[in-house]
Amino acid sequence: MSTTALLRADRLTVHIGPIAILSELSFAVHAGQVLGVIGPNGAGKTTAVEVLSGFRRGTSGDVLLDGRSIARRSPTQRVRLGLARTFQESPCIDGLTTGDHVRLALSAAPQRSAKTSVAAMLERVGLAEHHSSAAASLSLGDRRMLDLARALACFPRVLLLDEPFAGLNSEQEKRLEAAIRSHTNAGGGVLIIEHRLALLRDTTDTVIALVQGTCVAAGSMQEVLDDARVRSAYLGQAG
Amino acid sequence: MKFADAWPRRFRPDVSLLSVAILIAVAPALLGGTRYAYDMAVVAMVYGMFAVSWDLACGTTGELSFGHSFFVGTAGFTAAIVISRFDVPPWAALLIGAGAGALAGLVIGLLTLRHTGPVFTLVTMAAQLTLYRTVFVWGSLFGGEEGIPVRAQWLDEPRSRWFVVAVISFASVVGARYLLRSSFGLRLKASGGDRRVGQSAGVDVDVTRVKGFTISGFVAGLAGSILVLHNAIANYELTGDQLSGMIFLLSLVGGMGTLVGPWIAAFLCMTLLRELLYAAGQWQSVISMLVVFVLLWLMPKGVMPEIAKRLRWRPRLAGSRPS
Amino acid sequence: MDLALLILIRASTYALVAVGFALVFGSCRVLNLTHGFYVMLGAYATHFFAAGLARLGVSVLREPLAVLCAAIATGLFGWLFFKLMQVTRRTAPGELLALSVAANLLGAQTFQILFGTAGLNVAPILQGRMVLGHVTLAANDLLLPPCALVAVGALPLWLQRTRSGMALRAVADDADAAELMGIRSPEVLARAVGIAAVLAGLAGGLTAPTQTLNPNMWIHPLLVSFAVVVLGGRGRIWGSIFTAFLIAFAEVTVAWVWNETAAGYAVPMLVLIGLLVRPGGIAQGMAHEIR
Repeated sequence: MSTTALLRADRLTVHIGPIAILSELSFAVHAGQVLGVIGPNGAGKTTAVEVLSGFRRGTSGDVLLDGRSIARRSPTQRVRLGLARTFQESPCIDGLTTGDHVRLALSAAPQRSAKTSVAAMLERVGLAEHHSSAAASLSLGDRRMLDLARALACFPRVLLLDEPFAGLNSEQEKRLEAAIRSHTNAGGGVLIIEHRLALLRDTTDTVIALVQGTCVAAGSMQEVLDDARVRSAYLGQAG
Repeated sequence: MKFADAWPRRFRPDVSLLSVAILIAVAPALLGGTRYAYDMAVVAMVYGMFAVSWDLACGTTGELSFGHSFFVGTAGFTAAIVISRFDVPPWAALLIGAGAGALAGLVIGLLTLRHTGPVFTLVTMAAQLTLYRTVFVWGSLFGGEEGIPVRAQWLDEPRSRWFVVAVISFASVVGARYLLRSSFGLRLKASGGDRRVGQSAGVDVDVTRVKGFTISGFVAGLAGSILVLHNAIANYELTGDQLSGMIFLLSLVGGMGTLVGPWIAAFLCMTLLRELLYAAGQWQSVISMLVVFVLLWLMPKGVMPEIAKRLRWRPRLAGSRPS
Repeated sequence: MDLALLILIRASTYALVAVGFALVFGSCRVLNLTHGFYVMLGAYATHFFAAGLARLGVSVLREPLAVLCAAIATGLFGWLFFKLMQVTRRTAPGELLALSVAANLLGAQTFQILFGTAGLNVAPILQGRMVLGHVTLAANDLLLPPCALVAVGALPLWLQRTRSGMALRAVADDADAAELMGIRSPEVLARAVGIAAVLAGLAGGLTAPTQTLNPNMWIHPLLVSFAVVVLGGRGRIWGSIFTAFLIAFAEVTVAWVWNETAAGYAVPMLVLIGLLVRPGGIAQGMAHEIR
């Protein structure tokens, strides 16, 4: 295994006034591996993804893709460099069809593909029949799969998935797991934020736990869940 | 705007483009075949280009520009100035005018970069009003109230002028249609939606938007320059709110986002409606505006989408967007 | 200082005109683009009401009565138009915008034909002029600051203390929740539009004596209202007032240093530069929101 991580977060810090949303957060996503990110609400998980993907600027710290800093790059540039993400709300563009969203990503991706790839992409996520439907008319679960398809259509090396399992039925969950697996088999890396720990158990290789903006535990799923600080954060939350 | 899935994809565009071609071809004869008829058709085709240009910028991004005459005025006055002061030949002046229009488009694109909705509209209004005022304030350059007379030999035979403008106008519709069907067109439409989606698909939303406006400015500029040559004058009307308002309303009547709808609406307004209302004398403008109002009231999405909806004789396919 | 008084008067005018526009935008997110037209309507209506009252033999308080009638008539007109849109279900933002623009241009062109060359005038409520330093003021203009003050002062009170005002705030915050509480939001919104039109008509009537009525009178008030809302924080009262002063200050100063024509650049330039510098509007962070 190479020592250079595919994606590395180096002491990410995000301050809003006196409040630290992220504090010296460091972790790495390696090629062919899945990193899980867990933590109570408000821990800063989505913020971390926002900073990694360029939608938010950190107060300090660096983001490195293949060892090279991309902290100054715009989100679009990061996509072109191979970093794609999904969104918690799975937004879509009114007026465009499902197929359009995938075509959009494909046309911007370095490997330009013919129209067949749109169908293939949609087939992978189970949306083939919705090819010409307005994206806005899709159900929530379908929109999440479209978001995934759009991210995959960027042919990324690293996938950042923000609570991708929420709102999916079991067939869609299987498709998502399959997509993650084939991505890692091809040498890509994945970062997943998830609350449904049972799902993460089988998919991830390493897990980190975020509490109040810092990483309090890292390791396998079991190790992290056994960690006292993680337990208190979760159990304290449930109160 | 999506047409009914009832029409096979390849058949669809031909119908609307065919309508444009037919309208262009028959208009002069229907209007009387006189020199006046050909001149009227030329103006109508120019307005058609104005509408197409508006729809390119606004039908895609979903913004509402009230200042489109900023493009027209910049281009028209540029063309007039280079002809009258620098003796530039008319064809070159057309291109220079179109280029000036593109530049105006670029400026507006940059000025409105992160603004949407009412802010966008206000900025376009402000730009247009600024130019309008400058025409009077800087009278030595812009000719003030009288404007700049343009004396140039340009296709003085009415039928040849009509033919050339017809080709240009039709080409602009076809070109715009082709552009919107391309991946650039898709990116342009994406730039009007949630920024994050476009960006996370690898689309530089800002650059795309600016490019879209530049192209829109080019088309409006070309049309404006043609109008200046045709009318042999460039004056404040080129950059006035009347023109901006008409372009805006006619495009909406035609159907925002359909390209052909706005062209046809503008064309029919400047030919059919003008002819029908000729007898009304000074009440012409009021009645046209009333017609526009009623049309917008009856068909808020525009005439073209409404027709497309009515022609949908097949039951709606599963998954298509409810109206 | 004499200029200060001029600025105050103009700012009062703009505040009076814009606060209604801001109210409507702040509560229904609707750009009532006929707003400038209502100002013009108020001015013309004052002329015709004055003429009508004269014919009825009214001589005492004719001018104030004319202004009042004009303001109310304008309010009714605005309310009716909005009601018409509601009844025919054309109140989606895009549709309403387009129809407002069309109605506006329709009205403006009708006025152009009917009154274009008429050169109508309105008699002032307060006669006479005052010379203060370098500036000549019409006595009638002194009515504007107090009227604006009352309008701008009464509005927050109305919003906070009265049922209809609170209903509007409820609708502005969450129309669905308001419906669930029994508030009929179409009525509430129409009332807001009516109030805005009354204020616009009032402004039109009060400023009419110092100008010759012309069918293009609607452009500047609309631009100012629009600018006040966009720069002043999208519906916030204090932001709107502040921006009204800013615009008045810019115009008067430019007119003073150069000339009146140059002053016409003040608003567009303010908009363009203001938005470049502060995309969120000048009054970002100012309190006292309408919605």
